[in-house]
Amino acid sequence: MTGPTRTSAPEATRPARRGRVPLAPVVVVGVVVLVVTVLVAVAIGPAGLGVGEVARSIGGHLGLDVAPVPRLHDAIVWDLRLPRVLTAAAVGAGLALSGAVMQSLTRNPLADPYLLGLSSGASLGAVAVLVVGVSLLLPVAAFAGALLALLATFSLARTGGTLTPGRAVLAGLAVSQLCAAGTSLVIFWTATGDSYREILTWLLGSLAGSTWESVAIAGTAVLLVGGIVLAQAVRLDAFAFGDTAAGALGIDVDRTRWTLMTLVALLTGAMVAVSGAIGFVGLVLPHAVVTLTGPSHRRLLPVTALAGAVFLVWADTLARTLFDPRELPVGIVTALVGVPVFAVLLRRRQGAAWS
Amino acid sequence: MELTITGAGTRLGGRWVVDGVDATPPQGALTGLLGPNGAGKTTLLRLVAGLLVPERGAVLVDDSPVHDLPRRERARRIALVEQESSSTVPLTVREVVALGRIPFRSLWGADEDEGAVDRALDAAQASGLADRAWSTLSGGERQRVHIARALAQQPSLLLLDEPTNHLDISAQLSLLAFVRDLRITSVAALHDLNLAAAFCEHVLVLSAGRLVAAGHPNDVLQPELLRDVYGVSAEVLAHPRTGRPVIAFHESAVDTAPTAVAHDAFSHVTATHQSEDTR
Repeated sequence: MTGPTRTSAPEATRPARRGRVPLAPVVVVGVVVLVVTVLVAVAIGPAGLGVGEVARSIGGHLGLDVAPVPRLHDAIVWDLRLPRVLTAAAVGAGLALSGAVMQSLTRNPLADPYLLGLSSGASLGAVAVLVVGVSLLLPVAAFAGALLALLATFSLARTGGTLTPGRAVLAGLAVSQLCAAGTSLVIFWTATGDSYREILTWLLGSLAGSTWESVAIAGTAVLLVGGIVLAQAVRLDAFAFGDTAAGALGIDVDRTRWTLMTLVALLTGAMVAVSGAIGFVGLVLPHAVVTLTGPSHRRLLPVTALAGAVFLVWADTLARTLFDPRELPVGIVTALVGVPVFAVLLRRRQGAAWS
Repeated sequence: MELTITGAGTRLGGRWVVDGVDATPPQGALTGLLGPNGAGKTTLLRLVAGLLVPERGAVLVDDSPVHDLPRRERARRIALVEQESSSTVPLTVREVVALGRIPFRSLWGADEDEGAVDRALDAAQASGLADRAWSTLSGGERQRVHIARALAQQPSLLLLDEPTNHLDISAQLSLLAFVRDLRITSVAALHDLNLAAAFCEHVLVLSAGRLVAAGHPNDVLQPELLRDVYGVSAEVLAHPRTGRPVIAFHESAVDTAPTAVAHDAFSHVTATHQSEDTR
């Protein structure tokens, strides 16, 4: 071991990590990629639409003076595919953002909405509405479920000790299992015939039923929560070395944690309400993006949201075209893509920060 | 900064972990916070940092209670270097040091003093590490970077919780000499009494949450105190060069309560053997 005053030869051979990529160009590129992704994704599928046609259709609806598109094609773009693609983008952004915030607040690189019981809770709330017919709006029920699950996870994690990353995950696991059991019970008791398949599709995550209403719910949630969370970015940075360190840096640790957790619950509730529980986006995307932007949340959060949006649009496009006309639940695609990506990240960061 | 602790006390789990401590560490000098495991050193540091609110008494900085200061204001005046603080976030050294600027940054992240991180790295002689990944640093380097992070807060009070833990001897010596030479009012919880004797201007000795001695190490670190507080017997010599105390411990612990129990247990075993023999 070398003394702290000296930096010796072997250290010089390590790769320098000077200069993270500047933020503005990354965000600009991200936005451009997202717009192109949306246009291309809407064009893909039966009916042989071109990107130009898609752009003209959208332009027409936005009141631009463009050459008209055949009515059938216009309906496919505006009524069927665009709502779905935009919902996918909003949900992807929301899930990735939730994951990034959760990982920082719990100091656990494995945390995501799925793991801490949030989406299981939201699913239980939503299934209760779908199947039992509890008279609540679906997003409200999903949000209530997410919030209850979050409360249960953190009270369980705090019993008999302080909140540590490991305890948060263990408690989240227990709450997830409980909510999953509750969901199964509800389905087992009440569902009949075709509704099984419908519910299963929904539980695995699917964007098939997206409407402009879904776009409004998911989009509003992402923009609203995303904006507030972004304003807290500096506070999130302070959690890197734990609660005490954050407190010593002038952060109101409890208030910040609960505010952000509640916001994430709101976001997750909205996402689950429109698309079911889609896994791996919240877990994998922040880890992939952090290698590009570095861990500063002011940089990480916007890029993660953009990457999540692009990722989920493509995943959903695969889900609906891969075995056309049969459609896969998009949750299967995100898992199929997410797990190998996660494995690669795990290898690359071997012995580094995750040890 | 003038730090005054008056009758400060707090309970954790119903027990008074810090109990009526009065102390006035000297300004611009390094004070050692001594005492056996569980004496309340870490808790007292957290009280002084304003992270715990005292149930009794107060901690005053420049005559105002520390927990009444606005959080940001407090973080601009008091920096804490925790014991064994680690992170799973893939930070570079420069980014770790920049955390110390959080109390100075606006909502959108602009820092009023952009050179502060470089100066802190420089002051802690960690500039050479700036672009390294935090996770690749050795223990001594990490501690040095934590101190650079603390210096980026431009504190007038620096608190360190066992900063020499797990460091090799050369790193221990250079770290404490560095902190001493900062001439910032500093309080460091220390386990190694010889290090405290060599580097501290003032020492506070805690035992079971109470302050049992305070003063210059020459006056405080005496065999009687070591026996009463740590339950060890030792000779206190004078360092041939500095005249500071050098503590030479004896092999066996002194005859205090815990060892008396051990003796009893042993004699009990012997007695059982004897009774078997006589049978």
